[in-house]
Parts: sequence; C-alpha cells; structure tokens
Amino acid sequence: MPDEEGFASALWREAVDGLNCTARVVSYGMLQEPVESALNAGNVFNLPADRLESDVRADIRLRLRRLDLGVKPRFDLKWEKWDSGARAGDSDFDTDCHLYGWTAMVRLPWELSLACGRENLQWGPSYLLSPSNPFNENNGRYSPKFELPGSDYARMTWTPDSEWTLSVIAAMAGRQTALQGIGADVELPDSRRTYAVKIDRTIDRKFVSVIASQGEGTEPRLGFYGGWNASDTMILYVEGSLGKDGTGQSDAEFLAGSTYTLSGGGALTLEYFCNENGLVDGPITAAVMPLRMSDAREVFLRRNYLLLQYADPKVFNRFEVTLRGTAGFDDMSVDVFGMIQYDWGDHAQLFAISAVNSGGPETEFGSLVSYFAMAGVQYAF
Amino acid sequence: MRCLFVIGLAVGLTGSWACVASAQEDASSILRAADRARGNLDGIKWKVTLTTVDGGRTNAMAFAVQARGFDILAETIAPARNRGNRILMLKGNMWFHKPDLSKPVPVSQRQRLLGTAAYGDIAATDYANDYDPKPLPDEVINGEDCRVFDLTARSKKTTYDRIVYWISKKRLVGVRAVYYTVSGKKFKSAEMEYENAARIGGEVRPFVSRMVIRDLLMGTDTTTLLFSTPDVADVPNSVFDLNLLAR
Repeated sequence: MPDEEGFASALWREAVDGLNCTARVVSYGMLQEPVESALNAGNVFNLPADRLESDVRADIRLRLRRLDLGVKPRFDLKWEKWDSGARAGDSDFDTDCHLYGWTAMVRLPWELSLACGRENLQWGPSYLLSPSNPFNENNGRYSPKFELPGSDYARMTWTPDSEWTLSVIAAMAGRQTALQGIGADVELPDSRRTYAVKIDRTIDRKFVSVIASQGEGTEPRLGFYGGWNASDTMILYVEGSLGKDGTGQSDAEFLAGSTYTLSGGGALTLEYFCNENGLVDGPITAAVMPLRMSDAREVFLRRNYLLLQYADPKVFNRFEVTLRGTAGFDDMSVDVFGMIQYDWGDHAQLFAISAVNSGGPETEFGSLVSYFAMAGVQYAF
Repeated sequence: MRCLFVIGLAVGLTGSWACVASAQEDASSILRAADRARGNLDGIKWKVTLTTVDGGRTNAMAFAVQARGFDILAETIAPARNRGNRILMLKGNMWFHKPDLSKPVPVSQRQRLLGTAAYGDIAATDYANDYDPKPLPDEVINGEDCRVFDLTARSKKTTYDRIVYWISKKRLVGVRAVYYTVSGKKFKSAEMEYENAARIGGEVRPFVSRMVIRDLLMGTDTTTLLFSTPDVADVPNSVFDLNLLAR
C-alpha cells in the first residue's frame, strides 16, 4: 500500500508539473466596406460592415510521461451589422462556445507516436499561402487574429533521428478559401477525407519535405517544400504541388521566396507564386464556376502573384510591425496590409490591423471588400 | 652539403608544420572544452531569463529550453503576453511560432531575441568547428589568466563573422567575448559566469549561469541572460519535430 501511495503521489506531482494552461481574451472592433461587384452582387456573401467581437481562448495541455493531451475551448461574443445586401440594416448578436481543437498523442517505443484530434494542420515556409498543403492552403495571412478552422485528423509519426520524420496522416480537408476571415456567409461543399504521407528531412541549414496525398474522389497530388539558410541573414525557399484538377487538367502551383534579415532585426520577404490553371484575364467571376466544380482547393484564383513584406517583431522592444503588399499581376489588383502591435505591460497587447484592396470590382482583390480595419486588445492571463 | 641543407630544411618545415598543427589542435581542444560549458551536451533542460535595459527601460523574458547538441527548443514562459511563443533551432535552421500564427515561420539566426541578444546566443556554441582560431597574447580578466583567440568564421553561415574570445586557463571556460561586424567594427561584447554545474558521465562540469551582453555601437543596451541549473535528461527526437511546433 505505501508503494502504491508513493507511486500515486509521484504521478500526481508529475501531472501537476506537466500541466500548462494559458488563457487569452481577444477583443476588437472591425469595420469593412463590402464591394458591389459581379462576384458579390447585392452583397450576396452577406459581408458585415461592422463587427465587435470578444473571444476567450484557452489552451490546456497535459504532458505526462508518454502522453500528451490538449484541449482548446473557445467562447465567443459577437455583434455584427450589415449596411448592404439582403441584410441591410440588420444587426445580430451571437454567442458561441465550441472546442476549437484538441489533441491526444502517445509516444510509443522506437520513436513512434500516434496522435488524433482537431487541429489546423499547417506547414511550409511561405507567407502568401501553403501550396504544398493538401488539407488547407490558406495560412490565415488576411488577419493573424482570426483563427482558421481546424481539421479532424489522425496521424502516425516516426522520427528515427533529428534529421528525418515520416508522417502518415488522415484528415478531413476543409474547403478553405480566401473568403475565410472576412465574415463571409458562404456555403462550401462538405469536407472530404484526405490521406497524406509526409517525409521531412533537415540537414545542415537546409530542409526539404515531400507530401504525397489523395482525397476521396480527387486526383492524387504531390506537394513539396524546401529551404536553405544561405547565410545568417538570408533564407531561400520554394514550395509547390503537382496534380490534376477535377476536370483532369494539369494543376501545378509553384512559389519561390526569400527572406533577408536586416541588422536591426527587421526582415524583408519577397515571394512569387504561380497558379498554373489560374485565370489570366477576364472578370474574376469567370473563375468562380470552375472553382465550384473543382475540388475548391484554390486560395488564389488567377495565375501570377507577388508578395513583398517587411516585418519587425521588436521595434524599440515594444512594437511589432508588419507591412505587406500582394499584387495580382494578371488583373493588376493589389492588397496592402499593415499591422502594428504594442506590448502594454506583461499581459496585454494593443493591436491595429488594416488592409486596403484596389483594382476595381472585376479584379480578384477588389471584388469583395475595398478595405477593412480592426483595432483591439489581447490580454493573456 | 646540398643534401644536408635539403634534409635540414625538410626537418625544419616538418617541425614547423607539426608545431602549427599542434597549436591548432591545442586551440581546438580548448575551444571544445569551452563549448561544453555552454550547452554542447547530449540532452539538457534549463530555464533562461533575459533582462534588457534600454535607455533606462527594463524588459524581461523567460524561456524553458530543451537542448540536445546544437538543436534547441525554447518556449517563452514569461511575460504572460508572450507565453506559448516557441523557437526551434534544428541543424542550423530556425523556426518561430506564436499562438497568433497558423504555422511556424523560418527565421534567420540574426533575428533578435530581446535587446542585444540574438537567438543564437541562447543556443549552444560550436566555436571549435565553426571558427578558425588565431592565438593572441594571454590576458588577465577579472584576476583570471586567460588564453585569447581571434576567431574567424569558416563560413558565412555562422551568427558572427569574427569573435575575440577569452578562455580561462584554469577552468577552460569562456569568460569574455567581443563580436565584430563584417567591416571589422566591434558591435557587442559578452561576459560569462559559470556558477552552475552539470553532472555528465559521472563528471561534474561547470556550466554557464550568467551572460551579460553589451551593445558597443549605441552604448545604451545591456542584456543579461540568467541560466538556471541544468537538468541533464534525455530529450526525445519528437521535441525537435517541426510538425509539432505549432501544437
């Protein structure tokens, strides 16, 4: 009995030591101007003009020996108002309590691990999007304060050493598009089960990954990304995928990028993205019908894009600044994004985010909202 | 006569080469010993607290660090607003993740941690392999006899291009470093203390406990790193799995 009590007591102490809880409250006000365009005629996507939101985001994690458990409950309060479209003049107050994500992982012998849960499965070095990702190419660049929905998944991982990782993943791939994050009321086709095998290799200052995947009822795809720390200031990387779309046409995506860190700590990033079967000319509505027929993977609908970004996480040790411009060369539309965040004491951060989209209602960036702006505070307990 | 001259020249050259090689080996072994006191171990966990004073204003951060060799995972534990931020350094590749990001992003080693400290400063040093040492005259630092080396980076991949490094003769630990820019300008200096001890393979070795980094260009920034007593423990491969960094 004393041995059992000692074991229970030791296990309890380990559990207490392995328990980690964080909670944040993110509160903000947002306003945006929906565009009257062929794509969003009469504000068909019901984009709200104003929003006030307060989210309580808790992350609870328990690491106990070979077990790793985590839950991410969320509680949201949201008020929205519409100025145009079918809901013009309406306002709505909503509360929502949900489990944003959860994880259960067990580390087995021989460097194997099994995990399941719900998580936003993301990878790759690129800022514009993640073309190698069969589950979700949208990496939430539109606003870092919005949480992208997760996917239910199961994963087996083998890490024989620190250079190699082999993952076998089965997940429900959501239909993520650029409409996420701006409050669009859009009905997307159901998620489908997608299987992927991912091999990661990391060697001296270089990394490369290959992802073979196939979703139910879709063609197989081969994704890849790789990067090279050319110096202590310069990183070069590529990312892309090859496959066929729902109509049997070749569907390749390729991104090349580089990041240069200045002596002051700020980083300049340049990326070029090419979407092989993206729309080269004509109104953006011409891409929507084929999009609905395809597997709806696309985050960007045209062919050629350029991103230029400056990000400095430590301006005067208090501010974080990000400035980003994304240009669609095929219709000459531009999306300019700026974010500034201020560390206020040990617990709070004030933030302001704005984006301006130009190019006109027939263009990709100019067809949904002409601008959005949000400001708020994030408090961590 | 000519034959004797050639033989003598050959012996002299061989002897000189042997002396140079021996000196290099001596410098490398000294650097290797100094590297061992700054984290070059098979598996270790410890907490690092950074405090920076910039123009009279103080900022502080604390990290829980797991390291194996020169691979590290550092998670921010304070202040509360930054809790959950993580840095992964794996085979010279660095990735950063925070709760606001949907996925980790690659960052270069020059990226600043806080104040004058770079991410490379909380990582283990590998001066023995990354730098060519040129011995300089011995000096006394804080009453301690030191070997002094002018270290030149062997490739452009290191955090610093040139370092002058003072290593205690008695303790074989690095006590002072001055870092230079590519143009040869001093831009920061560091002084290290070794009050911690780690038992490795039955042997108790001194381990870094404090590092004070000063900005020599602007002259206003001072960053102090405090290292807790290290916990020598196996660190599994999964700790360094990039796929798990965002969890």
